[in-house]
Amino acid sequence: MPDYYEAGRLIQFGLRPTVHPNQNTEYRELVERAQDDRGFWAIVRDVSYGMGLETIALNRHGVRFRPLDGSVFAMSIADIRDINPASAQGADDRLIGFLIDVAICALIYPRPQDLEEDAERPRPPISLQEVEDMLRGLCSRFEASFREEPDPETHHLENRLYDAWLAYHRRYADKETESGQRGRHGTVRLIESHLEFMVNQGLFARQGSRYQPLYAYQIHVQTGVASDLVAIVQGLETDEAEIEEVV
Amino acid sequence: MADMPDNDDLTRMPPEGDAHAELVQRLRVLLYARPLLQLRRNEAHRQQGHLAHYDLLVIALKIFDLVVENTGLDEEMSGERLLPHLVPILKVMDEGAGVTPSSGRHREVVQAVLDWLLNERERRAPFQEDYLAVTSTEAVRRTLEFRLIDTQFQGEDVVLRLTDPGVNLYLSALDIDIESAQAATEAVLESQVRRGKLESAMGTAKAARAQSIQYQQKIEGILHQTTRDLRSVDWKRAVPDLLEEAYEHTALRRTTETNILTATNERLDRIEYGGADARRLTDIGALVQDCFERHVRLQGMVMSARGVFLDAQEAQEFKPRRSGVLPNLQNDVLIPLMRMPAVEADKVGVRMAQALHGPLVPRLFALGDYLEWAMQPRREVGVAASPVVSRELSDLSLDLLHFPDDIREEGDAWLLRQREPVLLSDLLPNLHADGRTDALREYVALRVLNLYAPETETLIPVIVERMDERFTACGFAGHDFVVHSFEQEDHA
Repeated sequence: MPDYYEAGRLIQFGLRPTVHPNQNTEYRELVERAQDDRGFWAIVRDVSYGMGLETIALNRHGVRFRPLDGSVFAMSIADIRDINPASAQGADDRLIGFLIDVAICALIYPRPQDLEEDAERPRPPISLQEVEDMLRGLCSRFEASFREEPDPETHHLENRLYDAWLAYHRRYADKETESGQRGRHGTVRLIESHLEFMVNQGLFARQGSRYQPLYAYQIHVQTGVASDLVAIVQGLETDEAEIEEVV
Repeated sequence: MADMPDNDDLTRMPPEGDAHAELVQRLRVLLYARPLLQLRRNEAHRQQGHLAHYDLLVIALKIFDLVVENTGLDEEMSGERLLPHLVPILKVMDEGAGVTPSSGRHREVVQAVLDWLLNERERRAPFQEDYLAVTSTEAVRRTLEFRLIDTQFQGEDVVLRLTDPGVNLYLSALDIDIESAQAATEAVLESQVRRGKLESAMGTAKAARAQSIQYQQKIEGILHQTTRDLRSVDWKRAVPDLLEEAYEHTALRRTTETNILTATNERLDRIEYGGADARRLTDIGALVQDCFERHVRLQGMVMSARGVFLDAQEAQEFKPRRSGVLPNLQNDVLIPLMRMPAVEADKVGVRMAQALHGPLVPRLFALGDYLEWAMQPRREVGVAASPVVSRELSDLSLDLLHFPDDIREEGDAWLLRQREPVLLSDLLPNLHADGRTDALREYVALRVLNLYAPETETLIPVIVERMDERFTACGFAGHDFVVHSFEQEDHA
């Protein structure tokens, strides 16, 4: 029974995003036990798997999990709304948020070989403006070819069949409100909300005006998320191609 | 983390015994220094006139020095902590060029050099140097990839570490393997201590410590690489041989270091207590003791290294899941997502957000907690509900204070006025020249120590960093400190 209790404690520590074994003696001792005692470690893995969590790392940074498909720990639509409750009312707000999440990841790992680097080696920090510039730059590229196309059909707009980048392109970057605050719906404000959300999740640390990706984020992306993202995109592209063939 | 000598890199070398192997090796050695030489010729630096009087190479080597000195300590050197340590040499360069020192300019030049050393232009990718590898049978153009300074997580902080090429450059020992270099350095050190060449011995002891750190990084790097990807390390032949050699090497180092410590103590017994030589010997002893303790830990690590291999075999599932080709996240993910119809991108985006954010703990509804919250009496929030009565405050502390309040206030005000970084060794004579009392000087000296390692909450916005250099001034002696008030940053 004590083994199962302690396995539960270790899983609980692993799910607390901002607790580090350096700061908590019990957590550190449980990590050391899991490293030394293979029987105990097997219990931790089995219990967490049953809870819908895949174990991706156990080391001096603690224990790290990834939610399995359909897990209660996977991000829900309500969680996505919580990132920026003030601006997450419309479908385009949410879509812009997805583009921001992927852009942050692409900015941190600009080259394929960066994904193969040691996750213990910190990637350079990023700023709000760098994420904004990356997305605006891509929008400008797409806009050049878009200008030569005829005006979109009305039902395309109604059914949101326009390209996703247009949602970002049409949104203003930053607007100062009367009270001197940053406008809630501007893209820079949305980028800030996403990064702050990840700071609260223990994935990033704020360094002045920049955001430093932490080990938790790096090990998460480098142990499969990057290839998962490609699979998600490619899966949909395959479906589209099949639909076109049928038509 | 030290750069690992990856297998690809080794196979790029000409076969041993090839007539040109040494030529290629020497060529590679030279190339490691190229980023530093480029730094000196940096065009951007030339164009920025206000930084033109700084020697960037000197600053870079001082950064190497600071990183090595702090490696392995509880608080290692980070980019943010570099500046106060570099201020003294920056001031000397300012004075040499007749320029008024400026903390903004100091920060700018240190950041520029650090960005260069970390290769921030390429988002910290390794430096790449092309060269022609000539063997007896062919000439092939190859690319040498390396880092000089690397970064590592220390909790949530990012600290700086020298890589193997970085340490070798720093020690001017690029063409010697670390084990031989370490043995030679310690032999020289023992001889210098025995002959009383203490000034030279101090530099040699620092080099010995840097080499022991480098050697530790080498062994830790191999063990870390094993846990990261078992296949990248040869556990059949190369690593067992290396570990056996490491065990013998560390045992030998411990013997030599014990001899040096004995020689240090013997000499210490023969010289005048409290003099400059005694201080040097104490510092040398501390550096050698650090090497000794490092080698003891390393030997333990080497003895249990076999377990690392077995654990890594057991935990194969931690290896990054690698597909055949690594994706380019912008071209393969972001751009296709942006080009999708919004309605489809929305569906895909949810799955991507789930993949990118890791586990989120759902909040559960607890009826008991809810009822307790709901049953709480409502709090009245009236403006005048609780009138604040002004009270006579009195000091309840029972501790007798050595310095009266006026001395404390005057001393703190003096420290707060130091808007530019200043050395304690300069500050104390300034107080003396200004006709301030001995009590005030004593308070300032003690306050600086207190701010360096505060035990009470009576802090003021002043940064204090310890220097390696020692000083003697106005009746005070010991390690020097840089004092810097950051009140000005708040105003900015």
